[in-house]
Amino acid sequence: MNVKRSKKLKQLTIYIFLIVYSIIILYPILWSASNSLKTNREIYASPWSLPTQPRWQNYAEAWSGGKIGNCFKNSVIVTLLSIAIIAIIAPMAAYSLARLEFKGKRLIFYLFLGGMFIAPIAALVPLLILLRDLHLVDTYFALIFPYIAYGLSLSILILRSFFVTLPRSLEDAARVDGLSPLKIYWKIMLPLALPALYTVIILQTIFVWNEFLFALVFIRSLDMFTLPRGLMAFRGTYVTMYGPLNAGIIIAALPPIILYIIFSDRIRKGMVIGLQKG
Amino acid sequence: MTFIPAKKIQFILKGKKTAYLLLLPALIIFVIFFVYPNAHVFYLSLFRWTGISPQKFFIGFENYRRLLFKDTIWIKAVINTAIIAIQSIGIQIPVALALAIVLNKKIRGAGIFTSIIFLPLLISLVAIAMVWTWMYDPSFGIINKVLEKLGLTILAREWLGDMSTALFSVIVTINWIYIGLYVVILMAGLKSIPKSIFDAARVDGLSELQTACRITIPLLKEVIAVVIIMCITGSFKSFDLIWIMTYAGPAHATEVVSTHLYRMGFRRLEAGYASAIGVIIFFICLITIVIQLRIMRIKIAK
Repeated sequence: MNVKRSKKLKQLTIYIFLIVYSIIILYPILWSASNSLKTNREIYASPWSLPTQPRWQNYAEAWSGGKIGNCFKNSVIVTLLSIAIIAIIAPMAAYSLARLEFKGKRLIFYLFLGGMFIAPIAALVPLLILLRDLHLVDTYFALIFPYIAYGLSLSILILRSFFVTLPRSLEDAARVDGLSPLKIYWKIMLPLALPALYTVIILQTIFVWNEFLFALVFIRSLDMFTLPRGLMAFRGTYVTMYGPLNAGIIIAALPPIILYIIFSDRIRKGMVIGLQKG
Repeated sequence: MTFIPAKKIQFILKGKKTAYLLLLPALIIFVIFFVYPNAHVFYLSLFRWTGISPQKFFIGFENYRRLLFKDTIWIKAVINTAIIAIQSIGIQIPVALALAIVLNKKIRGAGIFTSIIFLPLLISLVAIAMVWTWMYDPSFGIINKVLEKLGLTILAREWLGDMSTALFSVIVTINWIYIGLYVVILMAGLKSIPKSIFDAARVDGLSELQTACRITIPLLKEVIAVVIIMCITGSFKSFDLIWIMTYAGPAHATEVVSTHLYRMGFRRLEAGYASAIGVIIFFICLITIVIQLRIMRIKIAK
């Protein structure tokens, strides 16, 4: 009986620990969501309470007045284009590195791995100079190309390790049927790799959506800003208008959170590999 | 001698061509926008250059000499970066390990708790930095309000504006974000330990803490080593958060290696000097890859 009670006590301690920790994590997020619907006076006077009358105007104000809507559009364009290109070229390269035999394969694979570990800030100066020489600064492509380059490493790593697990007999059978290597990739191997490709797409979407450093350095004009950069500028102009500012934050945070609610397991597993990079 | 049919030879040749063809688009973009800039940074680090003017002055290793001996802010940045890395190892890993062990126990709601703990990693660091800046705000921030409620008004202060508390405050936010990542990684490690080992420990009457110290931690040695390395490389990723929360201030109190590089390269227009900092970051990252690949025994590369 005593044992049972001590076990119950232990369970209780565990739950208290987990609940307190969860509150610490959730509080700032919920606080921001609650403030996004308040007036400044409410924020100062009653920081704990929920908004008495939700001020949805804050969202409209952030969206148009704060140009968050325009940033949202830019983020969507940059993310879609970067991810579309990664989704096409990464599985091609991954298959090539996993299955086909050619000279320099190992070296190229290690080179790609490097992109995961070298912190992007290391080459920030030369990257800006390169983009300037190519006349890309302040265009969507100033972000898209670097996002693809830095996103390829993880994508290829995930996809390659998936291709390696597929049985070789699949290709042998296709070869006997007279399919060319290109057709084998396109018709048989790529469709099989779709689950891994979805993981890559979701992960890269979140990384690109939230990227800030490149967006800070390679984009100059206000109407080209993506969301993280736009939020920073928004804070600069709206200094203490906390309602709209929090609305902007929620607008920026919502898409990745929605993706997370749908694909939480896939995202967690992929991120574990992905965030090991420098 | 084995007989290789002509058709098969033809296929192999075709396969080789296909291999290069499939690899080419990714390789071209990667070489231009990753390999080339990371090589160019070494060259640029040997010059005094604004990054704009057409003239570059070759000065050899002068930029590195300046980093080593003349730049006191750089020294401060290195120390702060090291503090962030060391405290991450000392605080994030034990907390993450405790959470991972608890969440691994098949308790009800473990999935929901794991999801919540991981949530900060999904959100833009700019958004997180803004919210935390307000949490620390002396007039309406929640942190001072809580301290007042607890009767600790004496501790309330302008957390980010105070030189003595700014770095500490930023570190709290960093821990709030990254513990969730390490929980998930350590949980993956725990899942690979056979349950029978824990059952045996229970039969032998080991306490929870004894089990953790004598069994769990030794068995997770490799995973923990990887996590430690992540804490070190992670300290170079703190740019977004620190730049938004404090602009590396007040008076360089929260200066780290990455903010110093940014300020030198893009505010002070010392592109050559910033490149030298880039080279140092490059090498630190390179060393950590080598160690990490050693630990993982190059599992991924076959």
